Amino acid sequence: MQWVLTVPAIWDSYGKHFMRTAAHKAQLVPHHDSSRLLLALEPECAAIECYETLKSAHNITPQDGTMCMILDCGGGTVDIATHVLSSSGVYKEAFPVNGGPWGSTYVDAAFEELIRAMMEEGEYSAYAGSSEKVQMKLTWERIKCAFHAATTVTLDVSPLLAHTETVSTAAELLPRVHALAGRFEGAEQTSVKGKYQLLLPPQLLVGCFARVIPQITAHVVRLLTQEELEPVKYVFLVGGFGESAFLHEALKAVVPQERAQIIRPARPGIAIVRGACRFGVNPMVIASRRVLKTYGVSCKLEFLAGAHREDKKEVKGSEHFVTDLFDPWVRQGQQVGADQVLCKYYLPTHASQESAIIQIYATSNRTAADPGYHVDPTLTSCPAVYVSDPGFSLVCELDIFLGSTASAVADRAVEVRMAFGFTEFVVEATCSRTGSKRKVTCNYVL
Amino acid sequence: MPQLSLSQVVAVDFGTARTGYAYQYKKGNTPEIFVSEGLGGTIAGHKTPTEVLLSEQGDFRAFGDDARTAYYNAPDQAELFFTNLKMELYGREDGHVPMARAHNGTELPLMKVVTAILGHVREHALEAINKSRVGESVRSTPARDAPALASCALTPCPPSQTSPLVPPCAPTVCPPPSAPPTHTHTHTLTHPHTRRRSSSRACSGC
Repeated sequence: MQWVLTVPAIWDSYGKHFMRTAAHKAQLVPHHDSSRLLLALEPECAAIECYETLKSAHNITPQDGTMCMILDCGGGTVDIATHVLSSSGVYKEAFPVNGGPWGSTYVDAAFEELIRAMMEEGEYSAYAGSSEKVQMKLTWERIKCAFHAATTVTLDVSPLLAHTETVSTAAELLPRVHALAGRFEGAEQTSVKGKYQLLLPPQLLVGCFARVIPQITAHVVRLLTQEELEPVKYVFLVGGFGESAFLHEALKAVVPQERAQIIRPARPGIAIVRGACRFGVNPMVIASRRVLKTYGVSCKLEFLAGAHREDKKEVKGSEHFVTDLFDPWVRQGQQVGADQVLCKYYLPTHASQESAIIQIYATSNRTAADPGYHVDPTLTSCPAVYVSDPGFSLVCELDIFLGSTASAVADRAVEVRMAFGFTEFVVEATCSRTGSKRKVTCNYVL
Repeated sequence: MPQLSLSQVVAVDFGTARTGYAYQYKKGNTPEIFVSEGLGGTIAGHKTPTEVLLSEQGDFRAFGDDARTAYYNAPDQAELFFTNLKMELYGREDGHVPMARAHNGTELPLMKVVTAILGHVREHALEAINKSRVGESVRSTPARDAPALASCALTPCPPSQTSPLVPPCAPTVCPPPSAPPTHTHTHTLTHPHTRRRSSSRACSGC
C-alpha cells in the first residue's frame, strides 16, 4: 500500500516531520523514513486534478506554457498557487504560493453572529452546546455552498426554537429578526414560511460573505494584472469553500472571460485528495519545483586576509582556516527538477581527521541567494557568508567515518549528493575509501 | 525515477477544517479513484470535519460529526473532544511538545490526537478497499518496505570536472546512473570532527 499525506505548501520542516511521525505511529508505514509514505503539497495535488478536469470535463488539452491559477479555498485561508501546464500534463510551479486569511470560517462566524443575535444570552449558551447546533451547522453548509447573489434562503430555525423559552414558531421569532435591522443589512426584509422556517433576503447572506469575498476578488485581479502571470488562462476553485456558487459568481464578475476562464470542478471539496491520489501513482508528474530557501553546506577554506572575517579565523599549527563558511547548493527561487541530483566533493581538513560532519543549512539570506555568490573567494562577486550569521538554520547533519589516518587526505574525499526537487529533501554522503554512508530524508525543504 | 509497483494508493487529506481520503486502483490503463464515504457521519463523497472524540484514557471514540454529536449528547462532557488541531502545526519549532486542548480543558500531546485520527482513517480506508474488492484480500498491517521510489535513493553521480585547489565545484546535474565515480578530487575542506557526534535527525545505517 502506498500512502500519501497532503501538507500545506507553506509548512516548514516541523509540520512535515510531525505528520511523518504521526503516520508511522498510526501504523500506516513500518518505519519513519519509509518510502511507502509520500508527502504531497496541497497546491500541486490541486494542479494535477485541475489538469485532469481540463482534459476530461472540458476537453481541453492545454498548450505548452499555459498557466493555471489555483485558489484553494479552505476553512481558514485561501491559498493561491500558479502552475505551468504542458500538453503532456507535466507541471511546474510558476509563482510563489500566496494568499490570505479569507477562508469560509469567517463566513460561518458571521452567520453564527446572526443566529446569536436572534437569541437571548441564556438561550444561546444552551443551544451552543447542543446537538441542534450540529444540525444547524449541516444546514448552513448546504446553504453556504448553494447561495448565490439573487437567492432568498429558506432557513429551518427549529434547532434554535428548541432552546428559545418564549418563542416557539418562526412567526414568533420574526420580530426579533426585524429588530436586527441596522446591525444586519436586510434583516427587516426577512419573512416567514410555514411554522418553522424563515425566508432570509439575499442581502442578509451577502453580508455574511462580505468579510472575505471582496478581498479574494481584489487579490485575484491584482495577480492577473502581473506581467509574469500573463499566461494564466484558467483559474480553478478548489477546497471546501470552492464549492460556493457565490464565490464563483463573484470571480466571474471581475475576471473577463477572455482574460481567463474561472473553472469550478464538479467536486471542488475533494479535488485535492483526488489529485493526491494521482500523485501517489506518479510522483514525477510534477517535473520541477521552485526552492523556497537557499540551501548549502557549512565548510572551511584556507584563510584569505581581506576576503574573510578575522573572527572566523582558526589556526591549526601552521595552517590558517576560515570556518563556518556557507557553500550554496541551490538558491532561493531556483527551479530544480524533481529527479535532479546535485553532487559535490569535500575533503577532510587534516591528515589526522577520522570523521567529518556534513551540516546542511537553510537560509533566506539575500547574499547567499545571489547568483554571484560563491564560497571560493576567487570566484565570488559578493562578500563571504557565514552560517553563524542571523537567519541560518541547520536542516540536518550527517556524520561520516573517513577511515584510518594512514591514507592521504585526498583519498578520503566525501561525496555529498542532494536532491532538492522532491516534496521531501534527500541527502546522502559517502566516503569512497571507507564506504561509510549516511542518508537522511529531511523532512522537508521546499 | 520512482517505480511504484503497488496495486493501491491511498491519499489522505488531513485538513484544517475537514479530512478525507481517496484511493485508487492501478488496474491496467483504467485507474479509478474512489473517495471516502462516511468517515464520520458525513454525507458521502464529502470531506468530514476534522473533529475527534477520545476517551478519558485517550483512546479513539468517534470522528467528524459523529464525534461532535456523541460529545454533546453525553450527559457530562467528560470525554475529550478536539477541534482546530492543525493550526497548532503552523510555524512551530523543534524543542517543545505541542499540546492539543480538548473542549473540556484537558490537554493531550497533539501527536497522540493526530495519530488517533490517522489510525481511524487507516482502518476506514482498508475496510472500504476490502469491501470494494470482494475476493481480493488487503493486508491490514503495514506492508514491508519494498525498494520503491528510487527518487529517495540517490544514485551515484560522477563528479563534475574539478580543478585542484579550487573549492567546491558548482553543483552538477547528475546524469542517470552509469559508471561509479572515478575519483577526481576537489580540495574542499570539511569540518574537522570537533562537534557532538549524533544528531536526532541523522538516521544511522540506512
